Amino acid sequence: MIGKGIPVLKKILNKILILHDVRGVIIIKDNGEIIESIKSGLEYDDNFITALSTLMADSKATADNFGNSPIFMVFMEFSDYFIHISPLREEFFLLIIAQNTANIGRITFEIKKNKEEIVSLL
Amino acid sequence: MMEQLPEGKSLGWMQAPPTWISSHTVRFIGLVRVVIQDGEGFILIKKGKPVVHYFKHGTIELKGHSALDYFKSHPILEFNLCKYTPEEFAIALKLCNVEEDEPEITKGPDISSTVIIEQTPQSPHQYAPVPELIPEKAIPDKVIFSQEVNTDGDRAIVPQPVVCDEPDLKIFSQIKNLNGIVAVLVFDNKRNIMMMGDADSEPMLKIARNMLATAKKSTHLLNWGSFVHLTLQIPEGNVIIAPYSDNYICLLTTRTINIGHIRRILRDLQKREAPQNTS
Repeated sequence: MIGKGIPVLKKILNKILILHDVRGVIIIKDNGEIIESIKSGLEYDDNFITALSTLMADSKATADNFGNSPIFMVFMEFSDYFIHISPLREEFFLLIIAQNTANIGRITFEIKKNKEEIVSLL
Repeated sequence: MMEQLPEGKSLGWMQAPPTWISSHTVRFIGLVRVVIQDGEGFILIKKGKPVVHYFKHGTIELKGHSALDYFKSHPILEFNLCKYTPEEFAIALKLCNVEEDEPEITKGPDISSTVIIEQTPQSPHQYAPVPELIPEKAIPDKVIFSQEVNTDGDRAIVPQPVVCDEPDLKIFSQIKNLNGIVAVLVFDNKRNIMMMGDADSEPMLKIARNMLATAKKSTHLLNWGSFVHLTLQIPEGNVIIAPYSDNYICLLTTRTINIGHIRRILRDLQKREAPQNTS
């Protein structure tokens, strides 16, 4: 149960975190700065932060090869986990970390459903 | 001659270095149709062994070593792999006046660069690209490719290809033919190996390499197992890179293909790859 003291944004992010095999939900800026995050069984250490910054910066650079195209999605999969990044507004992105067994369709549905509310709180 | 050859079953157009053709056709029997500028040619191949090399531009015909050297003078060739049935292959051999099991590469007159210059059309405007076909000084320089076809007496010895790859070609061709796939590029750490589809190979290779570098950095930093794939979706479509065997595959797709579809394609690809790795 989420207590009364938990900020509203975290409550919304938690709607995604509680999906089967989702391990982390983060609001991140395109420079890799974490704005808000919740997690379940993951450590957000220095390597993790560096990896996210690299992924964000490099993805933007790759998209620029197509004439400053906006990024609609970045999806990176490893044998244990995947990362799903989708834009919120301007420089803000929503990042989901989940085990490979998670249901992507369900996750993207929940992102769409809650995107407007998340954006309104940024 | 080219018009009379059987069509065969097209496995798709692709771009790759000339050396790729010999090293990736060990189980392939058929015709490699090559297009260079306004000229056309072919390599008739039987299980990795080139039987006939031929190229025609205007009235200029290159056969045997001359055609082979000309193909090899291009870092990247654009070609169509056309698979033959045994009957079609027999017809093609007959049309090329080659007896079965007799490599044409050592047979027949070798048209040297001198001959080509003698055959230069009367009107230089009509066939302007011809002088570029094989520059006079180019032939001696082609020695750099000699390790690929060694001769023992009168017979050519083609080294055994490293990769048994006709199944790969079929798979890539099948992927390319899926709805929404724009281009397929296979590359390694040094160069692009093969490309099929509607995209420029150089920019695509550059993007693929950048994405691969990102993937390697992230894989190293995050201890989440081995890298499976990286997909970037932009308004133009999806760019995907994934490991494939000892190489990497890069797919360009339209946005009609969603992430679930991409994962299925890659899973199928990796399943097909698995028996090769375990053997």
